[in-house]
Amino acid sequence: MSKMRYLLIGMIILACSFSSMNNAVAMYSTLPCDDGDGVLTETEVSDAVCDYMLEDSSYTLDEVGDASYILTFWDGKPKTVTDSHEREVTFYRPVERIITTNPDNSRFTIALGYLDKLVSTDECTCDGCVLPRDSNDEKIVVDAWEALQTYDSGQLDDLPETNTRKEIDYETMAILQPDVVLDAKWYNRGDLIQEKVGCPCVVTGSGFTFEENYEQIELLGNVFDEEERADELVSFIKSKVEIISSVTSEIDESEKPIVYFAPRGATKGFYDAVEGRDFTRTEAVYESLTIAGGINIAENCTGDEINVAPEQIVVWEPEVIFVAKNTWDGESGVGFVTETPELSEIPAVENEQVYDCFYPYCRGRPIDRSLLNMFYMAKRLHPEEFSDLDMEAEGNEIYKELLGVDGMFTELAEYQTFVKEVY
Amino acid sequence: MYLKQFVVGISLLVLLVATVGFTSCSEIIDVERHLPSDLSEGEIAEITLEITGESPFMVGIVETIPQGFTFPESDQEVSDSGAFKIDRDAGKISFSVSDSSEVTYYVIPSEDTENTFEGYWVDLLYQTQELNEGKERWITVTDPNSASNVQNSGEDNSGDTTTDVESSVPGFSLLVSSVSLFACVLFLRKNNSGEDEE
Repeated sequence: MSKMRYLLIGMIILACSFSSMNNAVAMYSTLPCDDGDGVLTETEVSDAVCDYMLEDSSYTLDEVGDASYILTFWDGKPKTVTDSHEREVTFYRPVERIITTNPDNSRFTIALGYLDKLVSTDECTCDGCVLPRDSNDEKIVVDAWEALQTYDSGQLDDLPETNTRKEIDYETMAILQPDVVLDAKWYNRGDLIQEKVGCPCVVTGSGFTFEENYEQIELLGNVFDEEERADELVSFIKSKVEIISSVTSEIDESEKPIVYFAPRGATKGFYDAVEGRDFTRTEAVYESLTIAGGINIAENCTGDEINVAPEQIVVWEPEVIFVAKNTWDGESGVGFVTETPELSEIPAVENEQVYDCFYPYCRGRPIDRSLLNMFYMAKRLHPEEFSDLDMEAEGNEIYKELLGVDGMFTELAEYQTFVKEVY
Repeated sequence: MYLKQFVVGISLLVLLVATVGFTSCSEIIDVERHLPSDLSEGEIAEITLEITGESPFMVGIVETIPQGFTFPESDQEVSDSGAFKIDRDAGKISFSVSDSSEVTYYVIPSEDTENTFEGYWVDLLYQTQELNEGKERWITVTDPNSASNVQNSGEDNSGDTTTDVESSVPGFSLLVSSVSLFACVLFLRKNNSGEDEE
């Protein structure tokens, strides 16, 4: 008898779960409170609202609220956006519940004021890609972790993790009933997510050009109906770029140093077979460097993942080498470059022009680090021209704008002490 | 002892400031009921609901009229609002209001003075990640003639709770007001006497 009861309860729970998942799939195909013609009119919505207030209808507050929102802000019609993969994504509900699958989209979601609408995210957002952790996985800049409060007053790492680098938990995503999933550009699974989770999936991301960042921010601003804030954010970044480019654009090309950029660091030597990269990995396009007034020696290289031969780096004879430091508190790769005999005749090594810089990746292309590197590299490459530039103040302003946290860069600099050399 | 009073005072002040600060963060809209000063039996009376908020806004309102009160026979005579519905059996009228600072409706009062107007509103454009929201987001319509309602509106606007405070037709709940006033006086006297002793 008891077993039968448990079986029955189990079946009911299972049926509810399936029902809930099916609802999630179905709920995004039509507008709420619509009579079926695909457009909400004032009469349709006001009738639904009046009936709801009289408790004389099956409509819920979610439905009449969403219908009111669509009528007010979307002219009563579904909203369609074109994402970074040129996919047309249609919204039948306003975005109140968001899932991100990578830190770049999480960061911009926070910057656009939508942290409280994140219902789950990826392992790297929870780990150290938006807010920092040390190499022991302990939180650093704890004030910032505490300042960023999610919807249930938790911290960023309290959010459910619904995907890792290689796996995605579609079932949990569907159960969370998101209004949108924001997926990274380098995956090609937007339609699959849409089908399995039952909600719109917007694919977006940036490379190492600021123009891509602007496009990503504007797209997300459109998705969230936060165009004004998106414009503010874009203007902020443009103003920072302008501070540097207004100076470096006046510098003659012959006076710009030739730079080799090692964005993956050099702590594992020339090449790490496990990850397929290290000192010999470079980027053909890194706008932070070129805007800062450096000539990227690898600018003519092609391909997504560029690994050059060590001999090639020697032949290039870079005047400056930037080696990214891939942890906040770990060892620097500069030592490998300066102490390796094969590299000893490179001008940058001979003239002691090998520097650490901020690691430009974190399961994406973090805009904060792109901006920090732009300021930092400008001060390194053209110290006289940028002698008045206050690196610490700029760094703090960047984090204030992106995450709303005061003094974050000052604390971070305690872990990335190389930056203090240009204060 | 003075230190203790100081700490208590500061704590209350902090609490007050925190409450004001919290409510200030939300996009406050308020709905306030205005009644004629005199409600005469059988004569049509105009009830005005004044809505304050930042445009664009959209709000749903439901009002329950006192028992015995009725609506005019024809729906057209009940309200000029473009979007309203009436449940005559339940004595309720509901509105859907978009960017309009007031709506009016008409009632025919009766002699029955024991019941009161009761109203709720809900901000329809308030966006939250919560699922299955419902009446917990309904907020009491305030009535400037009822001190308790005015005080509650700030808390209500946070969208967290629905209060059960009813707004009263002026002069209809004299007994309740008198009892409340008497209780306040007693409380204050007790507190003051305690302070003097110390």
